[in-house]
Amino acid sequence: MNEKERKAGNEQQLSRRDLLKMLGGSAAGMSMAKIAGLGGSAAALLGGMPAGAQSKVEIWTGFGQGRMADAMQGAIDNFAVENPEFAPEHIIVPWGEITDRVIAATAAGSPPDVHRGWSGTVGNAAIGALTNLQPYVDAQNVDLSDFWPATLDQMKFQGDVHAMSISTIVQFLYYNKDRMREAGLDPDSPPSTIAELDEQGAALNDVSDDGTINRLGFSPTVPGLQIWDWGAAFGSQYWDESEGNIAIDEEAMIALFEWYKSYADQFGAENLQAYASTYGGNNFGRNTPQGIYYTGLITFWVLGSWSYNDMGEYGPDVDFDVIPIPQLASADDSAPGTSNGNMYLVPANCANPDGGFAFANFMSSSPFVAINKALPDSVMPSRRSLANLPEVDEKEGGWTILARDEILPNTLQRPSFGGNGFFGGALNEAAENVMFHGADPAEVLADAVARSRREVERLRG
Amino acid sequence: MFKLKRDPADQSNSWRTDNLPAWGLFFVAPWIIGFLAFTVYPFFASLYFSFTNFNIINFSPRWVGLDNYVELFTADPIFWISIGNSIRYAALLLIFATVFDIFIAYLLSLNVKFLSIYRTVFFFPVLVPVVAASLTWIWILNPRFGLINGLLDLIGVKGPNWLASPDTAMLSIILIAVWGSGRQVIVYLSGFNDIPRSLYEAADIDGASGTQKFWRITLPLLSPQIFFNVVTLIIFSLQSFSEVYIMTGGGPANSTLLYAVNLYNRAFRDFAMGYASALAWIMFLLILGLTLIIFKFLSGRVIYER
Repeated sequence: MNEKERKAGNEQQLSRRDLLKMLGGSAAGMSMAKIAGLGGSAAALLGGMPAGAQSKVEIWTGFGQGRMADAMQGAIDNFAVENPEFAPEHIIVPWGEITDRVIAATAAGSPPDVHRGWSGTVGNAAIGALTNLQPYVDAQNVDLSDFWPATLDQMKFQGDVHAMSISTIVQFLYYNKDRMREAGLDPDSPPSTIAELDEQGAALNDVSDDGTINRLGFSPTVPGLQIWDWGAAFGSQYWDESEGNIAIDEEAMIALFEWYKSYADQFGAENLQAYASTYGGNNFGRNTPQGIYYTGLITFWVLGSWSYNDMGEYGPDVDFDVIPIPQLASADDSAPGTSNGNMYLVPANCANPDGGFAFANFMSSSPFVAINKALPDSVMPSRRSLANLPEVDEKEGGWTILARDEILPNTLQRPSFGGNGFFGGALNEAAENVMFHGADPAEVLADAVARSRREVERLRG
Repeated sequence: MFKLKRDPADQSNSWRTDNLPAWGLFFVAPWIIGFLAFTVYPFFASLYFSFTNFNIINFSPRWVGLDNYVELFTADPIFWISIGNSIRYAALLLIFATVFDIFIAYLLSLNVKFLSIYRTVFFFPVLVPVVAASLTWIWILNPRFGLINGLLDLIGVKGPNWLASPDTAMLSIILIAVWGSGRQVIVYLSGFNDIPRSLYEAADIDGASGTQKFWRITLPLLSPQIFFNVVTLIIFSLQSFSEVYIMTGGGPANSTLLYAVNLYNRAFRDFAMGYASALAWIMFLLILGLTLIIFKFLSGRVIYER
């Protein structure tokens, strides 16, 4: 082999330098592609779309099938018509995964431009996961006083708006009139206080000698403890705005925990848990006619207004009605539970925050959405102006008027804060310790609050 | 393309195509890169994060020294509950699974009809996805309409509340884990099959009873498999997560809150990544310590066939 051939051969061989160049080049290429993002307008250009014509708005929700999906698509179509500068793209993510996936995508630098969440999701602002929407709100002169006060509180994190609420869920006490009649109770006089609820519920229980619960009149532990709501009904707060940390009304919460314990003592905590687990699949059969609410297995229960629509769909023959959550007559600051805003949120560092806010604002302010999306889901529009539309008054069943005129103006204002999930978990643990192990309510509550306050401070950094 | 023929005259500093280690490295590079990026880096990064206050979004961990560890040991009752639960779970699972698996493996080593079917049946649970198995068990253990309590009801026994009671929930998840321990059965089965028949024949000639043969022949010669299964089962049980998270979420009243479930809650419910990293390192050290202890005290007792 002559020199020339050898050189040619060398050129074709893989040297260490070549190998490193290849690997380094690949890594650099991947990094540049990552930095460039290849989202938004770049994607539009790659797709052959003229630059500047439209910007993509990536929307994540869980509305994947059925009536809710159709209503969501209708809302998106309306948004596209009213906002031709944006091209909405709806991506369906399972509800149970949406928050985790958004967080993961945000951490990876490729979040959606806007996503559906709940009041609790606003607390993710504490870890920097959300875009502060206050500058958008100010620039567009959004009338924040139009929102229900409790909902507005939940839209804010540390004083700034971080979410736009489309609708607000209130809590109702549902009651089965047929079962009340069977027990000789007057269905036109449902319980209006905790004491009446205890009394009427007790008249409707069906328990075997061995403790097995066959039918339940009422227990505050079924379908869940719902500590936030019952705590409000017993007169507790959860947050001290001046201190910027968790604070409860100890007396009220101790009374609540003792109330839980009285039911645990009456039925046996295990029997209540067994009853709940027996019928607990799929949210107590929320989406099946065999569900606990539609078959008379419970007479009084507290759930969000969203269940009103389910009652009509899965239990059309059940004669039922709703009232505000009964309150503790002796409590000074008692409220008819808490309310929970359904939110649209714009993740931090998304490709198109302008489009994200535009969509969130559209969803919270559009009469079309209020009438065709919120009301059919039996949740109230979060803006008072939309809650006063004629269609709201005309809604069958009268629940809208009850929610609008009696409950929403009076529910406990519970602001969004980081550590909300931890606090809820700690309260649940404390209540279970009281019910199952007879722990001292004051002691476990003090521990839960102390740990939760530390968590708030940790998140504050 | 690269040259495929060796050039003996070429003395340059290049990797030739017949230089197998170089090409080998090239082809395994994706795995090595993945290993470095997704195993080695997180391993050491988590150690660093365990000394910081760090959330998943803002990549600006704040150094807090030993604060996370101090809080874990001095101010977090859930940590102690979860570690106690995990140790109880691991210990009971180890006992139940070892006894059950050896017994089943012994039965499966007998020369009976339909043996392959029996072996398949006992391995089936390993093949069932965790989520599907967990949801099925929730219904099997349903206090009112579950299969087990239904059978107990037929003989006039009121079944327990299983997953609904703090007294029986832990036992329930242990039984489910034993049900799914087909892999250990396979290992024991291979051990049984490796024991020379001649030893039993000699024992028969000497008049040894069945019990004597079990304690003097079977168990000692099965010790390598027992040793392997004990170590892997401890590691597996201390890391158990999915089935418990699905079936009980750690309840009722934290009675099944295993360490990994607590770790998950802190990391992905509370976004306390620094704190969760500290939890993970404590678990790592606990597993490492237990494994070393087992090696120190048991490895000398293992009898390997020569």
